[in-house]
Amino acid sequence: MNPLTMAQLTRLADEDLIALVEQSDDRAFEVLYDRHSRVAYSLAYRLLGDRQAAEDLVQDAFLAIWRGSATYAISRGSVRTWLLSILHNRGIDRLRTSSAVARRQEALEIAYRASDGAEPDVADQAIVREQAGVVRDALVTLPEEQRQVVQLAYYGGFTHQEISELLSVPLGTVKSRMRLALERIRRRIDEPELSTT
Amino acid sequence: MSIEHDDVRELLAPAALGAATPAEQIRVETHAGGCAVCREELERLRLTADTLALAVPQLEPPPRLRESVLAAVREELENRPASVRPPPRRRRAWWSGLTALMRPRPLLAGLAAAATLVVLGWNIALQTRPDPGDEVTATVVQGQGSARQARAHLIYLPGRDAAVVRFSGLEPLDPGTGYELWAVRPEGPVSIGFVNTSIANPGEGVIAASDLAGVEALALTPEPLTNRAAPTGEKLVVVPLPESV
Repeated sequence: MNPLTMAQLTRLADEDLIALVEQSDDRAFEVLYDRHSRVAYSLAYRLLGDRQAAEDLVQDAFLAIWRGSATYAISRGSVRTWLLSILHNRGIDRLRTSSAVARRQEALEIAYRASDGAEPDVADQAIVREQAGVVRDALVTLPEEQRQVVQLAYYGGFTHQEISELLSVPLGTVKSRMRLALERIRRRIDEPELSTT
Repeated sequence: MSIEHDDVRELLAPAALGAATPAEQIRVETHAGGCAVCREELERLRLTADTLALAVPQLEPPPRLRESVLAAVREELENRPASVRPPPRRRRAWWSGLTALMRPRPLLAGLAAAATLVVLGWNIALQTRPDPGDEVTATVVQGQGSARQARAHLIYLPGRDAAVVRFSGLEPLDPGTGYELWAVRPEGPVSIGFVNTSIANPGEGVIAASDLAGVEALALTPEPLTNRAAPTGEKLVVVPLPESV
């Protein structure tokens, strides 16, 4: 069996690489790692706030894919989205095992970091800049109360019940804000020109 | 709609953001499994929530992380047992005509294939080296019979003895049934597995195949999810593999 060259592998779509990974092709896996490790590491660091913990989480997520403990479903969108979803779920699990006191302190920082998505990021590279820009813009343009619940939930790992207690707002309001925020983000992504209006 | 539906619908956004409790998550998944409205809405919200991963400031992972991940993978690869081939299946009548046409008489096989398939494109996409083991070929095939709107996109890696087939334009099937892909061998069809179809777009799906030496074509049929012995449904798409297999 003659393996593909790395140059050929790098020209394959993610979905095709995943199919090769499922057949234990370590070089296809390597290509996937090189494509997505940066955005994965960035999310891991954002979730956990610690470089070593972020490295452990990234390794955990990539090895889950390699070991076949996570199965790619096309319904979950792109391979990158799928990978980040795995990483996010595992990161949230780790966040929830941290102490309640520490998490509440983190919550205050997250909840009131109003300009979080708008800060200029000199470290950004072109690989995800355009998409990231659209999503950041969508976040920034959310009403403050909607952005808070999204940030606490997605990046902070808090449940809607915990967010209700943290912000002292009714549970139904939290759930409603989450839905409204996601719908608004969706519209911004679908129609990015809205962000300039 | 029921009270349960209304209650679960309120939980869809928290579930999409990972902010539901484990018990709520199970409740949402269970309900969505039987409720197309909630299932589609959950998928839509999830796809949106997943984009939030891209919005974080980008950081360069340290080189040691790459080394560590790849070392772990290669160590596991060295210790991994070889995969077991699926057992051969009993030959079915509807395959015999195809295999008889395609194997002993290549020219007639080509004509037969042309009569039943419309090959929309044959792109030798990545043949940058003369070694056939490094070839990657892509083929698009139209469905037949009641699935003429369907398309199969084959990415074939002869050097890896593997292929990926992506389907589009498939009709949604009844619960308990799925689209099964078969490897057509001279001795009969062998199940490759059920196509992993999209929840959001049931007409789309993907499946990977390996151990293709001696396989003349890949064929898609609708089958009960419990059937793995031999094809019983109408063959909807037949994808001939290049003769270099």
